[in-house]
Amino acid sequence: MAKKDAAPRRAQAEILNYTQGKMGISAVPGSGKTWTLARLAAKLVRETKLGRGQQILIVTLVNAARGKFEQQVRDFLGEDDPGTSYRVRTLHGLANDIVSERPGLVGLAEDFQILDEDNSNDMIEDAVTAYVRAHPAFGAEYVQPEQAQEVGELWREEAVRIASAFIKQAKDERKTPEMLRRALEHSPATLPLAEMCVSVYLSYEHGLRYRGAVDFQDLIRLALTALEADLEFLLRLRARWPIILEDEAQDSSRLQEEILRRLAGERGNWVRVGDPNQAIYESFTTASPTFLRAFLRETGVTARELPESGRSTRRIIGIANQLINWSLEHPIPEIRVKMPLDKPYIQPLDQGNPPDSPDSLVFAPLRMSSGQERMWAARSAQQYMIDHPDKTVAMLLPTNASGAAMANLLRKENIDYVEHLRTTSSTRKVVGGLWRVLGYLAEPTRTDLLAETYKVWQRDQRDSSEVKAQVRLLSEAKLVEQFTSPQGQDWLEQAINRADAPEQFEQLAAFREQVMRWQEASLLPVDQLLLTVSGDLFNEPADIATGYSLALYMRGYSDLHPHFRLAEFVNEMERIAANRRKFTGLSDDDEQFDPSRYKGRAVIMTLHGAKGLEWDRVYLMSVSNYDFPSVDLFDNFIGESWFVRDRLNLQAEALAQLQTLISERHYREGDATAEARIDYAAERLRLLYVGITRAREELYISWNTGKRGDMQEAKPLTALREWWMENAGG
Amino acid sequence: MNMRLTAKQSAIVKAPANQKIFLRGMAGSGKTTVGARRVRQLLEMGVPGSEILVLAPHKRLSQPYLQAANEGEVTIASFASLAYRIVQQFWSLIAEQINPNTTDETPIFLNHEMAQYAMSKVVGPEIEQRNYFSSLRLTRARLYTEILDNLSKASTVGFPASQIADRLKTASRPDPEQLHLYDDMQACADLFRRFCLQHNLLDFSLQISFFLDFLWKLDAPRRALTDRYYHIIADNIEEESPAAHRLLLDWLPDTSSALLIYDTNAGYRTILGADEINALTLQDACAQIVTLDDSRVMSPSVALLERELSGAILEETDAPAKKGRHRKADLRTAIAYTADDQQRYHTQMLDWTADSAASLVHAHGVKPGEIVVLAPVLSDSLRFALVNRLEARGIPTYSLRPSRPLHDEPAARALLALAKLAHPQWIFSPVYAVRKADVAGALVSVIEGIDLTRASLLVDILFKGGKLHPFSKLQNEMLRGRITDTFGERYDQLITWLNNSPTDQLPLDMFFEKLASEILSQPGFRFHDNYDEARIVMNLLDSARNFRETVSRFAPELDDGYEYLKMIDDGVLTNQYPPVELDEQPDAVLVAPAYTFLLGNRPVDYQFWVSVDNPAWSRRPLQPLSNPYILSKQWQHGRVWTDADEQATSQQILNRTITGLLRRCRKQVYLGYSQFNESGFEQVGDLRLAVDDVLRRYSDTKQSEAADG
Repeated sequence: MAKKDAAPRRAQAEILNYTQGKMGISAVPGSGKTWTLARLAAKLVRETKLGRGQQILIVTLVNAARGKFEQQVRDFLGEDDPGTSYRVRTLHGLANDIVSERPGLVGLAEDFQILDEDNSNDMIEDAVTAYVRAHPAFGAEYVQPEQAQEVGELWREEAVRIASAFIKQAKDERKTPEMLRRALEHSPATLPLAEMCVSVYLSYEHGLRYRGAVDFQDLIRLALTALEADLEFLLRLRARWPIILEDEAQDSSRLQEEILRRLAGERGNWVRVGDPNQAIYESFTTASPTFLRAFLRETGVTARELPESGRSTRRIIGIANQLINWSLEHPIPEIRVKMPLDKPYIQPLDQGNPPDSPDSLVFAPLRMSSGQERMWAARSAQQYMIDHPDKTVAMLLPTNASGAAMANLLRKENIDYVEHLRTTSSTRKVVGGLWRVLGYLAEPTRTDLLAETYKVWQRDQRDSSEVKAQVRLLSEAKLVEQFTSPQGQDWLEQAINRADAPEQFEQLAAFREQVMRWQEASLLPVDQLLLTVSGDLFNEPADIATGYSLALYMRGYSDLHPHFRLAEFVNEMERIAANRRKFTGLSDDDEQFDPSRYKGRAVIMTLHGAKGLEWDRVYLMSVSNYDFPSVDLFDNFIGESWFVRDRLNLQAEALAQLQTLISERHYREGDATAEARIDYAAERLRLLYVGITRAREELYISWNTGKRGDMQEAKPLTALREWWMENAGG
Repeated sequence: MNMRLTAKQSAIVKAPANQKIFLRGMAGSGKTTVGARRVRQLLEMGVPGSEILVLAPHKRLSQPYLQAANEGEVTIASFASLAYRIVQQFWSLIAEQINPNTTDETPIFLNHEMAQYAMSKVVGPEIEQRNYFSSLRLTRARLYTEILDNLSKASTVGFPASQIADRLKTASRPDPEQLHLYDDMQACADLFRRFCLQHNLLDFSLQISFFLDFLWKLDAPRRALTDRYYHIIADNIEEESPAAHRLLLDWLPDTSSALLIYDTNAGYRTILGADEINALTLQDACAQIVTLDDSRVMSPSVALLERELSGAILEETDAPAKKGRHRKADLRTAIAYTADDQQRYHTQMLDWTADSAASLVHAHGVKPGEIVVLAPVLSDSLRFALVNRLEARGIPTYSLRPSRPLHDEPAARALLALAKLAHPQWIFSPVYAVRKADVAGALVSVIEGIDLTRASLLVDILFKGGKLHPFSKLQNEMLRGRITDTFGERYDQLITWLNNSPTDQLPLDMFFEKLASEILSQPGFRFHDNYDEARIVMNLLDSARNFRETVSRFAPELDDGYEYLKMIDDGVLTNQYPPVELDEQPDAVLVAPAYTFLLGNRPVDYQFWVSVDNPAWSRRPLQPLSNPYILSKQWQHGRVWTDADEQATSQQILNRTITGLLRRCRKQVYLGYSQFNESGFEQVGDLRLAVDDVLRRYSDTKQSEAADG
């Protein structure tokens, strides 16, 4: 990452000369696009005569990128930072700002609630369950007859995924369930998936209306509606944000682009930076790198490139460029024509890239089981960290589940690691601690939970022999009430001789007082209980702030579920603590994940999460035809469930049925499945490219044979390996 | 009360008892002091207390008058309470005219909660059936509130309730969705109105309308007021609705004296129908108009800050107003800003707030009562977090905000769970049924001294099949020992009472009353000597009774107790009572929403403004089905509400709030700021922009002064 006072390179300098108008920038990985854009933002803050309340608006895709961007702009501005002259928002955050300012324009009150994706899925699941119960025959035409008996629950889960994809896209297409119901009534085609989805959509929307709530798709849709509804409002916002800078523009959806287009106006100032080769959020969404490519070709748009990258060694750059070549000549014509990856190539700097070493590029030994692959990577990483304690290392995997499996192994092998999957580890620690305490309060007669609570309370010393002994003592206590609130007999007096071990006695006595306070607080509403406990447990400002944020989240959750009690709240917290729910805390890692904070420790992340980051050594794992398919006969495709006949991808089929309702396009079963395979294969190729370009000095690529031992090395990986053997060094 | 009066103030206080005076002035100029002294003066002149009426928009404003009246017979009332009194007293005069088919039923006065409930029963099914409001995302409670608000506006502003939608539509953009929503709203309002008339149910709007449009025009009800009160003192008339102004305008010729007090640049209750411009029409009914415009509260520095900040909010481009008494004022002494190292997180700002307040109290001897902590919106979480922090630092606090919803009050939850246990005839579906955790919580809440562990143990052993079994029958000695005989006996006392309670003959409210008086307030139980919990029980009882009486009127077939418990569980009935009005100001830090503090009319030395970044400082409650400005008397018919109006309103709200707060501040304002808000996002509101402007302008001025030598 470039330092703040580094001199800009030529291509960067050209961009920094920007003063007004529309500009589109196609950037390669490691070209310093965020650095350049942040520097441009700082320059514009300094040089533009902003009126009162005017701001340079900077839009990013995800929250982690927002934090990073903000920090960089702040660093560039230093003392000149007035704090109010720029605003960095995610697209959803921006949409929320717009809607919150004039909620009445779109049928909302100011206290509308935003459902996160997990909670919205829960509601869809309820609606699907009700539908499946009321229509027991639903699905019979898709499930293979011989499987019908055994897939009941799996089929319901499949239906939830189908409905969820359908609803998201319908909202992106700005179609209400009532519109679709009317279209369905008039449609000559038989569209069984659409029928289910429209019915679920209707009851889902009814639920949202009743709760005064919106989901993430609504936020985007309604923000655009608000801008369309009131021209004066739009003009006011245009005046407020005279310049818009957009990062990661390749992942914007049609509606998101439209919001920014309207805000910028016909002759406005709008700078879009992105790398179409890194577009990895397109599956079942309306996002597409073609929007950015089209923007670059628009009249009136100055198109620029940032092709130079100082991030990686030349060998790593070489292999990334070779992937572009391979993609341009992709053996499958249907994929080739989609141009998953396109020029420009990454150009190394004249000087400044890390030097190559024999380990710059390592292809793992062929054919390993998933367990062997993990062990191979673990051992290799362990040795690397011993030899290079000041270097950074990442293990990048395609899914949260494979990340969790990797983390399990490292834990078992006592290898130091940081897991950064759905939630950050610091957030999980906070939520986990609070979950333990509330878990005990929900079942206060259980000594094992009391002992766990003690561990949390003593977490800084939990590994000391004294604390371990105390935990054992507590968990073996038979009569828990004689410890927590002795009436007559005091367990503590009997368990520990105060004269012999005064410190231990005092610690447990203090813990007892604490537990009694928490017991009293357990009758409070869940947010207030959490505020109480987190105030008692944590000292770090970021932890306390995360505790507060969790309290607000749980308050919202309890409002959504007025009949829930402490036991259900504990379950929800467990889901967050166990990484099954997304929850963003307020730690530095949530704001801006900085790999350099974890030198000498293995960072575990998904490939999606790793975008924008870099490490000295990267393990790129699971590169098999399961996660990186190429439309070959035996390839597997996410979205194609084994129990569905003809390997149909029902999410894709449902979306095709949606399109039939919207545009009266003819629906033919199977076409969408075939198309989805191609799109998916193309996107996964870009994901592989993202993975490769995360490595600075060394890149280790491996694959495994999967659960049933029948997976193959991914086709592009074979091609890269062979090319490498032939050309570079093997 | 013992502040020395200026000559101008004194002249008003001592005016003869046949003078009608319109007194206007800014907050902090001593108007209420004049009003209260005037009451005392009238009494000293020999006017009987029973002939004096003090009108205040709400109870908190009446405190200085209560003290002045000194337990005399002076009546202190609000316009709404006068209306209620007269309608109740003279209902029979209009009953037949209102509802020709009426039986001799007395009317039922609906509070807001019951009006909402009645609406849910009448309008709810209609909404479902006709798919009303399909483009609206609004909780039902909020939707009903907006319809009720609209009806209230019709009666307080003075236009037919059937014209609400028309008025909103003529001022609306020609968006078919929006116009449709207004039509749906009108259909619901009409339906509800017909239903109320049919059953003699009087919501607030009908009370006002019957009072002013019917009874006030009849001799007897009118004389019940005019022949009784000859001296009127009406404070904060800018916070009153045109209906109240109309009453005063009509009544004033019949009075001997009047003092009408008007706060300039206020009007905080617009959303409730207050109309500060219309209040000025009362000037014509007074012989004398007096203006008080010197703050008797603000230090020169605070006064300078007030002018600067107001200028910045209104985006006035003039140079700083450092003239006259402001010349030597130093703005810096009026502001304290969040410490640099406590600006990152919202929670750090809360710590800074509590630390700074503690330092004022403990290190500088400031009385806690001279400090207020204000937020634009005070959620339960925020209030709890602030109060906890202050109390942990040894600072007493009190909080003026509506009570928590009933299902958030442990004492109320305990009673509700016990009621379910005592009524086995009520079969609840699983979501409403009592669970072990509810029973354990209830036992902790009502049995003196029992801890959660023993309560849970007791429930594990003795709560089977939805029933509580007696402790006395428990054979296992070890278990008996663990629970202890003391708690076991109290538990048995409770369940014996529950099992023997004649619940099939006892309405739920009476059940609560008996349970509280016969068991829970006895020694060994927690409501014994506990004022707070007694108050919650009283609220619950009151709410259940109200529910029973109202429901019996229009749905006598309903089992009201069963229905009541379900409605509470669903959160439909929240029974949020207004804040408890304290007769004496406690010496404690007030934690409140800014709006509540403004209405209190009480200056303090120090104010803390929590989250100056929050855009909510300048936001009005946005109502998709209503708009108080369009429905007000001031709105020009046919004009369309635009974004510019929205902006101007925000600016006006912020300006009024900020000037109002500063005019109630003697020494210093602590500005709480954090980079991230409570959800972890950065935000910038207009207040923050204005503060930045002032600080920047001030530092520029200072620098140029320094450069000039």
